[in-house]
Amino acid sequence: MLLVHCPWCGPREEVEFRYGGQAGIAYPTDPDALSDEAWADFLFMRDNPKGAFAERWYHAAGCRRWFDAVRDTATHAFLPADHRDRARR
Amino acid sequence: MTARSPLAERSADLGRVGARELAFLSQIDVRVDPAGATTLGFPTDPNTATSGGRDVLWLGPDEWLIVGVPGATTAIMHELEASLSGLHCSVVDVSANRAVIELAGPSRHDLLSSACPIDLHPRSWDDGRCAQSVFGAAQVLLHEREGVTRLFVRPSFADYVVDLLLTVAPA
Amino acid sequence: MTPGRLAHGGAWIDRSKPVLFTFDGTELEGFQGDTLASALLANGVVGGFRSPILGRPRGIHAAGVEEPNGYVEISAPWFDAIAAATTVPLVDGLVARSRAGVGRLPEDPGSVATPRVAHRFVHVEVLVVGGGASGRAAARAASQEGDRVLLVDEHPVLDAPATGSDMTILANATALGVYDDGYAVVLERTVDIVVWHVRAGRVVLATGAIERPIALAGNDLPGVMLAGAAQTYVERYGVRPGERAAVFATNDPGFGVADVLRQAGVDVVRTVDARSGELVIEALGAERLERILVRTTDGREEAFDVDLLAVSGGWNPNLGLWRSIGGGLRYDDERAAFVPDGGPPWLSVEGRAAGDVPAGTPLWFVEHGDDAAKFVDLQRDQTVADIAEAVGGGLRSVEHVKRATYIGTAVDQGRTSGVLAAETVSRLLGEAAGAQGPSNARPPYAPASYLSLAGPTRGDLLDPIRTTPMHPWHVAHGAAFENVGQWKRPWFFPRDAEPMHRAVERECLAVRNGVGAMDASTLGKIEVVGADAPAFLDRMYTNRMSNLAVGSIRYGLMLGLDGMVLDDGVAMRLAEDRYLVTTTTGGAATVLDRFEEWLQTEWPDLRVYCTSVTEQWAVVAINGPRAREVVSATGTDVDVAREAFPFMTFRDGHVAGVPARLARVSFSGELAYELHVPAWHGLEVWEAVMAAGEPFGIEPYGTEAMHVLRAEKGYVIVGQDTDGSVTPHDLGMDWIVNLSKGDFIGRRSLRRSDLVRTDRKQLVGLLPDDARALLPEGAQLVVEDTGRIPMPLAGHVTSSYQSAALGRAFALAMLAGGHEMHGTTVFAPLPEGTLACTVTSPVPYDPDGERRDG
Repeated sequence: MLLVHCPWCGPREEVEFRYGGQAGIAYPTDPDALSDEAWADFLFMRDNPKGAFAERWYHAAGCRRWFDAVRDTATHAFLPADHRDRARR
Repeated sequence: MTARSPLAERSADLGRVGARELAFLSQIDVRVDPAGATTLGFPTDPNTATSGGRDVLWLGPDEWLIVGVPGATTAIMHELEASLSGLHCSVVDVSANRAVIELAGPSRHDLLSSACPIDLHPRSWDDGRCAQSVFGAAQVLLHEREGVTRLFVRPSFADYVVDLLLTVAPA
Repeated sequence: MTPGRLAHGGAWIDRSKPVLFTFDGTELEGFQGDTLASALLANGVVGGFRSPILGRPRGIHAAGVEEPNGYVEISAPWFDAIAAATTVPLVDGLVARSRAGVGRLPEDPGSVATPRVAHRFVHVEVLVVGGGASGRAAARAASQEGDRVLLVDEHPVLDAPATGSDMTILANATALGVYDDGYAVVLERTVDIVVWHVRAGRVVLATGAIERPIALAGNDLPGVMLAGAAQTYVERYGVRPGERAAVFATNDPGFGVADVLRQAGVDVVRTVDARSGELVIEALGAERLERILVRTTDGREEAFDVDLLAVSGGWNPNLGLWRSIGGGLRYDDERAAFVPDGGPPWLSVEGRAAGDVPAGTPLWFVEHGDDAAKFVDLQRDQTVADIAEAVGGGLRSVEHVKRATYIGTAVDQGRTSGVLAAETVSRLLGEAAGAQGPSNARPPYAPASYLSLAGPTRGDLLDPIRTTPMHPWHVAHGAAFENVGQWKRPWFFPRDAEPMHRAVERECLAVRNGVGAMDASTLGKIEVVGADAPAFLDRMYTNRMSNLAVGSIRYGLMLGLDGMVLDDGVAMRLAEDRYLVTTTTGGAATVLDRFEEWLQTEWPDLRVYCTSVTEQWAVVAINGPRAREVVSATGTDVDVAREAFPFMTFRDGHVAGVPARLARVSFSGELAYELHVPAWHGLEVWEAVMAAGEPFGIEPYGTEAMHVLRAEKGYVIVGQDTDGSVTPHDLGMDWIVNLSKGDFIGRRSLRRSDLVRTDRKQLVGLLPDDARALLPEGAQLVVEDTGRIPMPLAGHVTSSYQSAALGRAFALAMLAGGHEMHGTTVFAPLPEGTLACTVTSPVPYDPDGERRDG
């Protein structure tokens, strides 16, 4: 079980959290202006790197805050990240 | 009116694990910006609670649970609405939205640790601490208060929590 | 005194406490503190086992969890399908049978005593695995720093280190695995079982080293044993494992065993020193070891009659836990062993596990003799010849040889065979020693039963059973229940043992012709508060909520970003800046979480706060032409006159003396009122309604009747008629999609090319030509009845019921291009025959909604 560091609650067990996928993908400012391909890219396409990956996490059973974290997808280890990052889609 | 608390039928079972239901407590969920909360004296350190005539429990950076004696909900809400007037806030009566179990006795933390993963050791968990976590498959709010532990849980999960406490209690 | 028991000695046994046990039907005696293995050896049982695949005679080979041969089934006083005799504590009444291969379930599961299983979460700064000298030293040092320390050891006896204030010591405790960030699972097994979930700041592995055998012809005979094990039996258990012995070793401590054996009265007739080039080239015997052949340095062969050959080929640091979490290895030439090399920063290794093992000559297998008799993995019956065959077949990697031979995959997890096999592969390939490490290690370190891992949350506690405040009434009135997610909801209320369809018919007719009451408390409810609440809801729903009048209610549809229907419900506007939003029962948590996600991650500037109030309110739904009269009779200060209280509005007041919100919302199409009361009053208000409704013939109704009634009106149920791939247009609900109000979630996707195709599955009603024929839900639909195979699938039935109101069976279905197919015929091929149906609008009953005001 991973130990996840919530920026508010500190380290808590993974069971309290939900994984939110790739971080840093903002909702498009003008969806109407996007082609179907560009819109599908936003909806469905995500990176899948081996190594450091910026992710969103949600402390579902705790303070219910969303936050970003950087984690190594190969070793599972969380890497240092700015605690005050807000998650962005 | 004959109000019925969620664990009205379980007092014998609760007694077996050194616990009892605190029925009909006033509970109000307040959401407001931390700056507004500070002016009201709400605790801003995460997962801490203040106690007094009423308890204020930190649930999130902009969310607190006010807990008071039975029957005080309307008065508390009026007071809060007045104090928070003009601020962007939300004051909601959630008195029936959680059942409250009070666990007493020196082995209560060991009992909870059978199905709750947070650190309840005295060096991490003492009076004035609160935390939301899980107890088995139920989401719970814990509050350590004057040598007892209060466990808040949705009423529909309350029977499950009691059943699980009974199961993990030493024979 | 039994033949193998020494007159004195045995640090772990209590000679004042004899224990009776049974092995393969024979009653034997041992002492408290014995393992089953030590007690067997004390009784002269040197063999007694068979190998799983070849059925060869086998005997105790080791003294701990690394035992490859001596496996038993325990049937009393507990049941264990397969356990190493070296790890079974001897207790009075123990009944054991030798087992080879697969364990089996007890013949009479009901008669088996199951141990109590407890789980405990514990947080410490330091977890030390292994209570030997280096483990105790690590624990003591950490404790003196003020750290919380947990020290665990798999053995029953453990010297406690001098402690600081916060040290817990567990014997009989096996670390099953070490996982991310210092999380470990420890299985403590005494009379009962405790599974410890340990979250440690750092973990110290002081897991020692496991002695390595040497593969020589006949090395699987009973009486061939690891040298250290022979020493352990003498010193710990006061057992002499043989009468006439030889010692074959590559290292100093191996020869030290000879001294221990001599002091125990064993006649050690020969020590064979591999460092000087001497070799034991064969072990001989029928059912057990009787003789060995030794090859001297000058090439002569000598024979010795022995019943015990103590072998030490060196020591492998015990690193299963280290490797399973990513710790690396490197080969140490001097020690002929793999030692730890690089791992996670919170994990360290001490003592022999770290490589502090005796230096020795590397000797994996003896060149002389029949390779097919040189066993590498005793439990898999795999020999040097089997490895040579794999290598000869082209396999180069130890991992591939493992898959070809199964070496290392048995219950003993390759503890005595792993390194031996890897080095044998290297040697056969002509590689340097240590070129390849042993195959990977995975948890659990030792076998753990499902019972122990499942813990207390199993059976009835596997999933919470959630009930509403009215539940006792439903139970008392004989309701049959169905599971709606985790909730138990009344399904129907059978009277006098009537079958389900009768009850449902009766309940539906009551609602259509009189009045019925349903417990709707499980619906999700969320307070949405703030100056931007109207704008926020406009973004979350397909229709506009910002222009909803205070005091009014509006049905809303919520889509995913992909344009598919996600949830529905009604919103009530309580004030300019305040709404109460309802969701489906199953969607309550999901919708609240979605609201929070968008507000926190995309729109932090919106002034909106959401609070769950799902269980704050119990809800009584009163439906039927006489609903108004029942509400009045229950007693209310709200004016329920038709003109005073229009459809889709709500009023705050009291019902039966209890504060209540009354809402005119209908899921049946009949006149209906929902009474929202604080959950503490749910039961009493329900009882008041049922009492007040009695003169009007009120019937309680359950989810089945609710489903029929709403289906008769063509109201969809998200998750029943939709499956995450259905758009509003598919449902014929264009009327609820406001494309001119600005962006909302899902809006852009609605014009994706795939979502505007005219041949998409669309919601229709179906009337089977045979009015009594009930289509199965899920039945596939085709447009031709030719029987041509393959049949192009045109759709499927989503809801299907017998309708008392219509006097016939009907269904809802998703049908390709269905909006344009009303009046046509489609077919449902079924095992019992093909049913023809007419396609209709999905609103078969009261299509103009004339009944809703009563």
